Amino acid sequence: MNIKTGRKGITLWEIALFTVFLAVAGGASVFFFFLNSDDMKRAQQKFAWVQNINDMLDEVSNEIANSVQFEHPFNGSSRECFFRTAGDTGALVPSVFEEGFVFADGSLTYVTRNAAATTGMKRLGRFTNPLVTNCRDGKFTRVSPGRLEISFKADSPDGSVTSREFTRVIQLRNQ
Amino acid sequence: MSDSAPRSMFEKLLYVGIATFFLWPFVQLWSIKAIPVFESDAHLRASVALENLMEGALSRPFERSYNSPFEPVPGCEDLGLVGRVEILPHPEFPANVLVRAQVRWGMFPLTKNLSLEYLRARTRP
Repeated sequence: MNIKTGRKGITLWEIALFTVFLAVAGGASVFFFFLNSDDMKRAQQKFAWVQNINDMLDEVSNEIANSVQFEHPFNGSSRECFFRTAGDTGALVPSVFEEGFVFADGSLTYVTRNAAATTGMKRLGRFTNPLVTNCRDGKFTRVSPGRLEISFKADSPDGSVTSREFTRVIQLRNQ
Repeated sequence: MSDSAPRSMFEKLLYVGIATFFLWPFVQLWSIKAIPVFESDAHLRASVALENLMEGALSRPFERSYNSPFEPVPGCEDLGLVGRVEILPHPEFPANVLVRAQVRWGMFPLTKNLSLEYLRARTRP
């Protein structure tokens, strides 16, 4: 017993503080369990999938927007698009060589075509061909002379998301 | 100082400081719309819708519009996403046009905005 202060036991204030700390610790541990849970992992995988497709669409949009001459869906919509690009020096590549994107066999592919054949490219930026798999109803729509719209529906690889719709509007800068 | 004495102003300030120290990173995360767990998918969809709005605006002929009302974005009705495009002459550079696209979603106290600005020559090259 401390005679000087005359305190005995713990005060109400200390009990309250202890309870608060206990609640915070309990809440934090529950939260960390939640962060480690399967639900959270699935949500992260789904988000990563969506973000990857959007990054890929950024690349595709960039490629199409900077095309020198946009050839194929001149009007209306199509499952494929073709355009002429500039070479590394800035000169226009001869018109028999065209690049394009094709929705075929449930996937989006980056292709090049010349007078003889259409062949798949190895990769577009950091994305390898096919750029998207498990996609349906993909089409390129020429909304107006300066505007192209890409839209498709895709299913995630693990089947947790079905027919998520992706749409991009592209301003064709050189038309 | 006895136990029952009220907290001094200095101690109260200390508590406010400690609370701010803990909460400030979350406030910052909220202000940049980047709280990682909540609604990142909604945020992604909103940013794509914003890009689409901007690209659509750039591909149309310019028409001056300022303070135009927000309109629902097609395809994002479930989010309650509304967007608008403003096109105005640049206040400082008369040869340029400022195109600003904005999207907004969420209920009042937690509303989020994203905006994108683009500067273009008045006449196309």
